[in-house]
Amino acid sequence: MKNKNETRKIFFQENKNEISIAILVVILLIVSPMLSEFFLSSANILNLLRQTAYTAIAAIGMYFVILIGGIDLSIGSTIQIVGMASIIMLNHGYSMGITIVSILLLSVGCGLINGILVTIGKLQPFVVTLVMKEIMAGIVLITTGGASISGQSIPDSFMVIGTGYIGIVPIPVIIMILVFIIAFFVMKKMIYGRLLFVCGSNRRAAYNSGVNVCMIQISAYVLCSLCAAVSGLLIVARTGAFQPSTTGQGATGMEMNAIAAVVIGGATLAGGVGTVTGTMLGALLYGILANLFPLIGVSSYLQQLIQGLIILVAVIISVKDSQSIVQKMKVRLRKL
Amino acid sequence: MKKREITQMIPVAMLIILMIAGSFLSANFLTVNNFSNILQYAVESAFIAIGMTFVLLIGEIDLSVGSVMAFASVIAAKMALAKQNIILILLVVLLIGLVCGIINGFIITQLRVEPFMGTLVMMMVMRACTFLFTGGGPLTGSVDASFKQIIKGNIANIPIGIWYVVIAFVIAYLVTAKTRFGRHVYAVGGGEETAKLFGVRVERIKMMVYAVSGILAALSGLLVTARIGIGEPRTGYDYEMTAITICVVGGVSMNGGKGGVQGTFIGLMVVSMIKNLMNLMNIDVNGQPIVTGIIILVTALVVTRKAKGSGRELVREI
Amino acid sequence: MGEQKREVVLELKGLKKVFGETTVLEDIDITFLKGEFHALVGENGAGKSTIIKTISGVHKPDGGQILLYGKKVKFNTPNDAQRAGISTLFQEIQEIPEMTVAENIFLGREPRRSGSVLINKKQLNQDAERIMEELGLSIDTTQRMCELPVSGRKMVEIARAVSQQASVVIMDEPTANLNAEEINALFRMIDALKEKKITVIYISHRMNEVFSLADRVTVLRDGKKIDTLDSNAYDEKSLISMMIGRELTEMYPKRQGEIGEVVLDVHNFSLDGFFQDISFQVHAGEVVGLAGLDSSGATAVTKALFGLCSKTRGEVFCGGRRLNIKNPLDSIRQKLAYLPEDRKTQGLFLNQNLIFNYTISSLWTRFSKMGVINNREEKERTEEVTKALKVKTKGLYSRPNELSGGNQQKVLLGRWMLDDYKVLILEEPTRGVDVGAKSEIYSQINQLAKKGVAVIIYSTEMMELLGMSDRILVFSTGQLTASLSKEEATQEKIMQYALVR
Repeated sequence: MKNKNETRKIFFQENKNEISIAILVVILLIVSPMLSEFFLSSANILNLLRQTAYTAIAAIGMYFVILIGGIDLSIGSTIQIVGMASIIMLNHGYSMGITIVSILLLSVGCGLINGILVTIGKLQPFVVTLVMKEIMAGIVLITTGGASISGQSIPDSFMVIGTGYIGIVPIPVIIMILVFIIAFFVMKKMIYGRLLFVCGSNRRAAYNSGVNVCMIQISAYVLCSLCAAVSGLLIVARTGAFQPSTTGQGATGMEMNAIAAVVIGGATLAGGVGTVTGTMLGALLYGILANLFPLIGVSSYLQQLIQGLIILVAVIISVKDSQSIVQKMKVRLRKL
Repeated sequence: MKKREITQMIPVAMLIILMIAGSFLSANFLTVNNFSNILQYAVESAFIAIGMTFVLLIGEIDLSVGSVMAFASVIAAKMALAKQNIILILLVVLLIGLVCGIINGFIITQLRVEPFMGTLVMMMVMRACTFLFTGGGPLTGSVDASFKQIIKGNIANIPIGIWYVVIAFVIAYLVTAKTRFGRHVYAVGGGEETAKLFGVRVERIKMMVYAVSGILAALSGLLVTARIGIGEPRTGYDYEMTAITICVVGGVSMNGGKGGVQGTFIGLMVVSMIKNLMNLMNIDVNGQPIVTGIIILVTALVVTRKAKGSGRELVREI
Repeated sequence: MGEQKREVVLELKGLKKVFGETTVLEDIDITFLKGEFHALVGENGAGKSTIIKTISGVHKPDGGQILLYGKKVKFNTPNDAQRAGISTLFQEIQEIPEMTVAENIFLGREPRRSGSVLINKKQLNQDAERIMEELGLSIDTTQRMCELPVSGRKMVEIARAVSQQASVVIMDEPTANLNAEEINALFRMIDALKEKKITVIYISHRMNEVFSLADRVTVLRDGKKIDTLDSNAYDEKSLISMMIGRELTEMYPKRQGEIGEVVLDVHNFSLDGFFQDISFQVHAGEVVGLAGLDSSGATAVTKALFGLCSKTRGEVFCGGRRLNIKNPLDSIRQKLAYLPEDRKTQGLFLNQNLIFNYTISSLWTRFSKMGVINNREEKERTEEVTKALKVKTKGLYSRPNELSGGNQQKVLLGRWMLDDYKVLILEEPTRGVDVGAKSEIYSQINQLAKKGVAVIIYSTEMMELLGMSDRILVFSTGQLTASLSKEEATQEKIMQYALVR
């Protein structure tokens, strides 16, 4: 009936952004094997899936923060500190359960610090998270002295998380899918998701509508750090050892990957726009590119260059969209 | 008014406290030799901090300075290794800084990308370019001793680095306090709408500010090359954080329009002394970002407290 | 007559300005003479601010001409107007707080040392001092602007105008935040300007100022000029009737329904700097209108009632219970609803779909179970509301920024129809709304009142208040000056009580 057609039309209109990214992903998947014969090898596909999983989970966390109009540049260091802390705890004999819970609590703490400094301290998000990044990175380097920590008597149950499979699917991918489903459900069906959207869209209007904007903003940063922690655990559970990042500036780190995934997925930095699906697809797109580049001989540095440009282009395009809204709001010149 | 005087005294107070504390914490602190060291190696941070001052004064940020510095550094190294004319090297370095700055300015003012994002991307891109240029590792070969003289020599028995710092700050002060451009920078940072209303070319000022920041970062890269003598792409990390710390300690507000290079100078002394002290006390080098980070947070929190406005706001701030 | 023929400095011919769908200025013809003090009066929304913004280059006219000394001029930026000799003191002080007085005066025109790129600081301060002397002011020009009181900063703006060799100085409500002493100082300034033969265009609601200072007065109403009068040709009554004189059109739906118990009881409600000791009651099914000019406190009361302001004093009771409201969330929980005066920046989520916009305040109470949203219920109810309000839209998934002003306002009103609220506070419910939507909104408000909701409307459209309210409370400088019943309320009376003396 007319209803079915209407619903279908609405679906395509509402999700046209995600659909176009999905098409891009499909195109890439078709083109990549042509560009490299190794692409479709099982080793490569598994690697692709794993790396994408790490990025995607962190990207979903970043999505929450960008949605409310903020940014979190510290997730790379959060991932580091989580990895380091978990290996150290496991080496000291703590059970896996306690370790994981402590790590998650640690990340919640980091998120709280970020969120509170931004919301109540009224500092700019990039300043707060940039500084937190430095501080956490410093802690990691001081504790490890730059050397990696090898795992001693890491319980098998922990290693399974990083290296195990369910069927043919690596566990990190399962977890990624789980995180995606949860995030998707929250954003679509739960009040909390709505509140994130409106806070990002118009803080003042959200406040006037009875939303506790403060809490929502802080919670977004907490969720971001939590997701980073999950990603960090998965990374370190792959090898059972911790390797500190020595690239100094994490400009090449996970935070840029996550940001790339989120903006490619259609979110705007101003907030209020973007979907979980888009972020996932963005992570997928980015993951395929990151996997493909080495296979076709693109050096990691060239890759970073391209990544930067992609982010820039994605941001510029998104700004153009929200510009018209801002322009219209600027017709508030009629002050009586 | 009173509060203002107090806040202006804070950087100087910190300096004095540091000097006193330093003399207790380390025997070597209060020596001419040590101070000479502090100032000499402060010159690279000094240039970048001056550039950052300009950007903070318009209420924005430039996170790309470290990478621009690194890029200029390796280009200069390559040219120096090829025994190019030093004037030519200088011109190329200036050009690099100018172009990077203009690109930043363009992205931010014309494409309307937020400053932190635009300069963050530039940071990535320039860093990548730096590594691409050198092929991943340092360039082979070291530069002539004559090139190193850029930073190593003495003029009138004072290390040349100190001359650079002093001259740079003097010029920066003259520009910010006594030229139209400088005053307009303050106007843009202190009241952009008003400035626009009275004919200040806001976008042009912003572009020029980013250009200044880029040029100073590039010059700093030249000095780095002269100091370390090779083309090393892994330099420039953390310089933007240090620069922000220096400015913030020196009383430059991240909201724009407040502070000045005078304060940045004090901030430079303070931060350099802290680093120096930490070295003398054998504190882990990796602890420095933690200290600078905490300084930024605390200072920024204290400074933003002042933004209470006229107190006559009808609706609560959220 | 013994009056010298004054030269025409500025002339507006057929000036027209349109914002979106509304024509804000139409066919404005005004002449401003050299050296005269020319007041512009009219209600809020009459177009006074728009005229001066057009003259000062902030807006571009959509029709008509501006003639300066007989020559047609076009201002692309405010700076063009300044260079042409038109300086404006807007309601909000334009300043760089951290820079000195002298720097603020010469912003953009700082004097340079000859042949150098450096500013001549000495000359800057000297020039500033000179202007201060000319105007008889004793302000230290090396002080920073933020260190001066409000009146001082206004003086600096005047000094800036003089330094720009303005032939026309425009002032929009300059005495708004000044005390008596400061106002006198301002008037001395104005005398100094008059002596310099500078034309002053002055907007004010304060009748005493208009009477004592003005050579001529132009009355505006609804975007049109009504008349320009010489100083001896008017009195307060005639001015008022020109400002408001329009026929009551029968566009307001008849109100029936009973008025019930007291729902909202306000006692000695105060907010320092905005309003003092406001007490009134609103009954179920009653529509109370709040009237007042700028800074009257009326719109502050509405915001404070909804919990948007800190440090209020006094007591507010709803349905007999004392309200302890600290923020909008508390208000909504206590069943108060609020429609803000600026729907785009304070009420709507322009880039979110209509369902989000509708249900945001009632998600917990109506559309969810344990935090999970019932999408079907949402869709049904929002469709109902859309139909009831006759919102013209492409569908529930369109966004407010795609709708016209009237439809946007309907959506915002619809938000408060999704739950049972006891009190509905509306600010400017039909601002920027076309005629058709207006009547639909009015009838919806009436329906809500019929259901027993206590309605408070703040509006600067007097006709609206007169047509919709059972009672009108008039505010002036933070006090409640009158409570007029439907029968006794007239435009004249409202204006009388609203004007500042």
